[in-house]
Amino acid sequence: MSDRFGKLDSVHIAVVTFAQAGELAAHRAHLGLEFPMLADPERRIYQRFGLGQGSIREVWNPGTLRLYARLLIRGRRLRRPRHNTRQLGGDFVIDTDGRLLAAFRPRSPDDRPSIDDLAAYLN
Amino acid sequence: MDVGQAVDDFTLPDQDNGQWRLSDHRDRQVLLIFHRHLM
Repeated sequence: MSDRFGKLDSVHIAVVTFAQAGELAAHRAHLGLEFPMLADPERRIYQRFGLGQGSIREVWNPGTLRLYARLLIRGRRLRRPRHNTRQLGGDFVIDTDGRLLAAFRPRSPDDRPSIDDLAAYLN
Repeated sequence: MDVGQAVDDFTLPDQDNGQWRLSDHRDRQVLLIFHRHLM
């Protein structure tokens, strides 16, 4: 395993979603994640981290459509969205002193930091 | 919230009906991934 993925093993990783708490287990299994998955259906923490909604044009851009096409090719079964698809995500590194070390706030779902981008901030 | 600022503690329910609290994870850095679409 390369150093960059090894760095991910040395941090706590949690996935925040805007699903209801009762949906988390099925959603986590669907995505095949091993990390804790958290419910923020009122998007209180999303807002605290400055994550708003994108426009329809920003969210459903060609890059997003290519992203979902790649997932389909890999065998992912996509489900009809039951939540607000305009909600934007983000990635944040919090240091051991509780301070925000890095913030990635993409403007569309296909605009995500690479593993290398994230690993640059991890010990 | 800007880089360098202290992140206020928060607690959210997890997939096992537990409670995940940020301040319980100060022994290591934390990577929070905020999910986008739910498809």
